[in-house]
Amino acid sequence: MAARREFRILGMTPGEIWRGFVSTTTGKIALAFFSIMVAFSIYALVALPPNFGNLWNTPSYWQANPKYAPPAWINFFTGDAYAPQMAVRDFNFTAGSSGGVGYAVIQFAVDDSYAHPWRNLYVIVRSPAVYNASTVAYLTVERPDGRTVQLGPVSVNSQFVALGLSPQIISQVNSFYQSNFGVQNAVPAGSSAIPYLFYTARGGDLVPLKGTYRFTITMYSFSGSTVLNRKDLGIVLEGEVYGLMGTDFLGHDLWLGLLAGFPIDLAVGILTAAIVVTLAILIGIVAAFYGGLVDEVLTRITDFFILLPAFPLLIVFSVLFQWSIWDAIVFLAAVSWGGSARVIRAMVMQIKSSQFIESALAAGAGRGWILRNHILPMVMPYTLYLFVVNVPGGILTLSAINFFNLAGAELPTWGNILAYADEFGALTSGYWWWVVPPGLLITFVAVTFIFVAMGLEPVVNPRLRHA
Amino acid sequence: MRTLAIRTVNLIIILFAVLFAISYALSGPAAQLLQTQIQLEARAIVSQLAKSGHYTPTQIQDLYNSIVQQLYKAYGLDQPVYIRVFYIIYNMLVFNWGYSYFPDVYGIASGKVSDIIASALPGTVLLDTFGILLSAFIGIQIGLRSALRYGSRVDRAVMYYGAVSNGLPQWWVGILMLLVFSFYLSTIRSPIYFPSGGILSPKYYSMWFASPLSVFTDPGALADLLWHFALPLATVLIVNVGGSAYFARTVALNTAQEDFVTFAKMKGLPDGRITGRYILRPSAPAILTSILLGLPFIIFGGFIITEAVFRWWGLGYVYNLAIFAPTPDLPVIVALTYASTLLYIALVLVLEVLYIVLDPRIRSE
Amino acid sequence: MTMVLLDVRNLRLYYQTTKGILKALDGVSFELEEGETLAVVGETGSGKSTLAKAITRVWERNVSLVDGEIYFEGEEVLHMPEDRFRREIRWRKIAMVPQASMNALNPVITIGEQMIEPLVLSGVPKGEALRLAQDSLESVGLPRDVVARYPHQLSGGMKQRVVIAMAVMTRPKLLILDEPTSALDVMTQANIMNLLKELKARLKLTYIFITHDLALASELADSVAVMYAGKLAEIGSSEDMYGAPAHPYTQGLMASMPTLRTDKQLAYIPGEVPSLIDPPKGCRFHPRCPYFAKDKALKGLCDDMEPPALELKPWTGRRHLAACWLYK
Repeated sequence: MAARREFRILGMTPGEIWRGFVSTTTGKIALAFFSIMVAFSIYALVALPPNFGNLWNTPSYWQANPKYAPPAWINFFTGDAYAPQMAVRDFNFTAGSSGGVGYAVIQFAVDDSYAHPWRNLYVIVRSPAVYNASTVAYLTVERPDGRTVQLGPVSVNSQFVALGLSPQIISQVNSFYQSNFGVQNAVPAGSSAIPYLFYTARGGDLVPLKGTYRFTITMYSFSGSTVLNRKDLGIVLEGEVYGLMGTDFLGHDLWLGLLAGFPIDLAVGILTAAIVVTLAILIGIVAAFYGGLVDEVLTRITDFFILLPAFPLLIVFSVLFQWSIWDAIVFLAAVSWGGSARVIRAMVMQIKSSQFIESALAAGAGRGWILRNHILPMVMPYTLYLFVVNVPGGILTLSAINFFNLAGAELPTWGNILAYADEFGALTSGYWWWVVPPGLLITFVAVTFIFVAMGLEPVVNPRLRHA
Repeated sequence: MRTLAIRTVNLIIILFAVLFAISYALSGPAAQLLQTQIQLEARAIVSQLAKSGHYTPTQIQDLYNSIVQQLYKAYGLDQPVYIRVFYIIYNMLVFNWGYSYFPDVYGIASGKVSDIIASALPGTVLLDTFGILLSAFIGIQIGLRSALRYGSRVDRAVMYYGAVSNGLPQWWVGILMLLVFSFYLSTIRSPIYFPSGGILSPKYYSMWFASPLSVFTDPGALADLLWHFALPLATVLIVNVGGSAYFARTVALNTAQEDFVTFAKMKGLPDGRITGRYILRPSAPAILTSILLGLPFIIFGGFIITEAVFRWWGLGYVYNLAIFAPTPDLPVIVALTYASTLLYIALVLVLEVLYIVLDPRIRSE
Repeated sequence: MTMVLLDVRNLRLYYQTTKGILKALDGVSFELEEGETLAVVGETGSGKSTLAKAITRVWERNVSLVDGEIYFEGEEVLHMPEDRFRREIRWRKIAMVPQASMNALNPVITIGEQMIEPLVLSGVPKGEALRLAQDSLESVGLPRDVVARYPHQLSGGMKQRVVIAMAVMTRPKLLILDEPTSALDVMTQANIMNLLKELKARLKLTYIFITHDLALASELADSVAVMYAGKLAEIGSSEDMYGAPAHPYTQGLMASMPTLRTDKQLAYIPGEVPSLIDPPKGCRFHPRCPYFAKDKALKGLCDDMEPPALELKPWTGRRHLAACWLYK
């Protein structure tokens, strides 16, 4: 029989290791989870703009989004009761100028079939020439019941114009209700007037009026002939629900935020584990290999780090030194390697005192040779396992730190999202979409690595094979 | 015996080293903060006086300096770092833990750190220690029984539950519990709902702080305590039973593969006896060691946050308050960190003794 | 007339592995008379240890098939309910000293506790059981106070003796010893062999002695069974086997044993032990068989059909069987 030299680790070829890994149910699940995790991370890196971190912290980017809005798909369960966020795209647009006044007429229609209609109407004008000039806008709404509401003028003096809270519009809507239905003060104090465009009065109560609404917005620009372009215009109806994962206190699209968390949290966990394992192997091997005084000293140092209360110190130092997340990672890794180092040291000790090392030494093998050819091949496979085992700890600890709003509160990590959730009363207001998904994702990533470790166990512990 | 003595000495040395490291690290930069704070305060006082116009600029300057100096002295900042660190260590050891910088935060009148810690200790013992021990107890029972039914559905379920629960952030589970059982239950006006935090209703505070045991004898207070205790305890159990079960299961499975277990079967011993004497007893040292070893870590690890989520008056929550006080409340922080390390070392020593009792192989070394 | 104590018929035991089904025992049949010492020899992987595990019904978790019949004292025991087998047969009638007995002792309880366990469980008072244990220890040449010690305080040889003492303590009818001396030094080995001989003479035990060492087997054995690749190649009395081995494999084994008196050219059997997952078609030994290589007439026979156990004319009292087409 041909003795082809196969590459073996701990008596198994990589092919066998792989097959052994995926043959267990745990291994299959681990593989599935891991693929999902990697897929999402790659998608996040590809789909999100590179400066997403900065965008996350720019409130103006999220202005048009509703705050504290549940995800859009709850409409499946509530029978389409909540108006979704709508960016109006097909609207009729005519623009021109006459007599030194530039004008633009925008017309569109929306179908309101919701018990809870839109909260606000935003007009976005991306042309500084227009909103720096004295521009005003008028709004006419034709309701399905035949009545028409005339609103305006509202001054368009910034890029982002929110119509709902404009005092002019509020009073106009109030008078509409007064004159048409005899209802006083229809719009509650401090509320946006826009939803009430979609209501009607019946027997003294305000109820939603479903049907098609036609909007006409006319804008006049009084300084010279500044002309508005269609492409510079944006019309957004702020919905009651938003997107895949809802929004938070700032209107952040949580789907994007959670997505961004994938590569970040993953990087955090992996980086921590990488540092821990590197230190553990270095110290473990050196201590066991050289023995004697070196071993004594290194063991004491290891004991010291194991006894050090890492987590409280991490918190304290993060506060005192205002650490970023990378500082926190380095510190955490630098104090957490103790347990792993002990294990490696025990392994190497065992190998060192085994008989074939004795015989190798007797045959004149140098220590370096033994290290390379005997010790390292046995330790290396365990390294992978050790690495995988240390990742969940890193992610969980750093999410916890983020929950305290420490170590990089500006990044959209899952811990940070939860921190804000707690701060802004998600618990007392029942914003489950803000509270459940981030924690679920943290658990998912941690569990993925735990499952991978479980699948690797038979590789590193031969006794567990085919049992 | 000799090894035990050597180990003890080692551990004490390391305790000192840890204490030193903590004190040094904390007193250095924290002192900076304190200095800045003092300067700000002094400036505020002085600028008030300056506005009144009764003082010359030089007098203002002198006043400022003297205020700063006095405050520095009061906080011990006028001495070099090493002397400060030495004093901290010394005070820690003789349990002279000083006074908190911000006593109002804790609501303890005397402001003594030892009083603050004493007030929070029962809460920690109740939730952390009792909670973990209960989880460990339940977990070990489940894990061992599961190992005996290796490969069955129940066993696999236990295995997966153990693995998943190891990945759960305990504080997040706490948040979930609050969301479901506190918020939603009260929203749907269920007669049974749980409070949103705290260890007791305010009317029982003084009873608890004066003498915790008195709460256990008063049915009303006890009911209130249990009502508040339910959600935090459930959180602790959900997250920790799994880990203990998984570990106990793994150790038991490893032991079950040993040759002496096969031989016991060959001897025709009944399954019950094999389980008890040949699997459990040899596994006991490993299981107990690791669980007890994990105890202090757990207390000063994720529990800080869990206590914060539930605003549970325990050492973790106190720690939280101390860290996030206007400037970090150093006396409390140092005392707590020291106490936790001390507790840990004490537990390690207990463990070493326990291990010797349980495993005769160690005895004769 | 001596009766048949053990009658094994077509015993099969298969394991499930990641690479496929491993046929550790594939149809083994033989008879054992009361008072007989049968040595089971073979290379590593021939199935000899598996045979012991099958008879005592203590096998690994990943067994996929157990088939055949085992008659002990006339009663079928392979398919007996586990509970009854445990109470009546195991350790009472059939006992086993496993391989690497050093690890067979529970490290956290004393020797004495472990020794008296089976007795106490069947109702013997503790004091008497302890006395029996001490007697047993004495009979294997160990001091009586070993009962108070823990396993880690004893040497390998002492532990081996303790396990033997435990096994004979209940006076079983059949004692299976799986490589009882392979982990020991030569001096201890000689002591143990003497002990076994003495026990055999005194207690009239029936042994199955499993080993890979032919020379060692010859000291104790009345008969020898040679196993190859999960099957029984040949079985016969010691005289027949050592003096006139019939199966080519046995012949090869005998030829490769060094002898003290003559200067003989040591032979060897070329090739490797076959895989038990995918064994060669027909006779499992044919790839290495010198007869098959030389004789063209055997082609189409040895490499196609498995040879049954064929009876040979015995020189002495015991049946001599060889599974080889040469003896058709």
